[in-house]
Amino acid sequence: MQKKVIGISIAILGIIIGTVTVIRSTYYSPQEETPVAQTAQSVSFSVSHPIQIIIPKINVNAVVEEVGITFKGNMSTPKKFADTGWYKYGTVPGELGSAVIDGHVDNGLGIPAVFINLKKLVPGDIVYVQAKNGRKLKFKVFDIQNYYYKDVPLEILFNRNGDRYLNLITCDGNWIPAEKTDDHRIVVYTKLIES
Amino acid sequence: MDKIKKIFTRGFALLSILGASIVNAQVSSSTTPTPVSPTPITTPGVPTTGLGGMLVSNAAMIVLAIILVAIGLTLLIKSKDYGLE
Repeated sequence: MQKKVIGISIAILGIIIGTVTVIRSTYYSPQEETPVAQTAQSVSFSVSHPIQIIIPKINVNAVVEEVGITFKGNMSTPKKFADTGWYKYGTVPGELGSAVIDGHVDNGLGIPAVFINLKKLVPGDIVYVQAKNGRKLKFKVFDIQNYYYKDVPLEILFNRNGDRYLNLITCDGNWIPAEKTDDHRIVVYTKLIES
Repeated sequence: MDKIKKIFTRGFALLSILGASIVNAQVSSSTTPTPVSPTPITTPGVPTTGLGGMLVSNAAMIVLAIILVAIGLTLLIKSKDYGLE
């Protein structure tokens, strides 16, 4: 009787560990966010927040989640690997400045995610963003860069002014176990051409 | 009577001016758009959007889970084989 109980307990423990690992690594990206005071921008343009991104060239048609900042001070990522994440403390797509949308390249089991083919984009390709208020924005790719992860020009990525930019970012390169991150980032720079 | 009338008239005029000023101030503050800077207040670091590198640790957890299930089932089967119930 005792062996039976122990056997069942161990088997159930194994099933729980296995299930949780598979679900977490396949569907959810565990990124805790730190609270940041909302900017005037994110409040005043709440109706124009992006909800969907479409990139015909690489067959992307994904939900846009709102993401903030992690405890490490980095831009957070979408909870689902099939979704993308808009940096909600930054510029709203279509407004003056640089809006930033990130997306995973793969999940915890190495299965390709939403931005797996982001690096295939070339200048001239089109990116559409649908806003909550129904407004559809059309952006055109004008530059693609592959940076070492510590050399990404954050001021250009998040703060370039003078036009209406949308910058897309994802991981690339090799895994750094100590840092738990990839060593490169692909950044696709786009500019609004129609709204 | 005229004096009282005069005081009322002046008082009413003063109140009108005061009221109009308040209303005007409120209207101007509500119609003036809040200036919005295109510069985000907080510039974060780059996101970590690739988790494929965690494949080894995740695979190890799955292997551990399989081993635990195997041990559990073995114990369960043995308890029945030897009539230990």
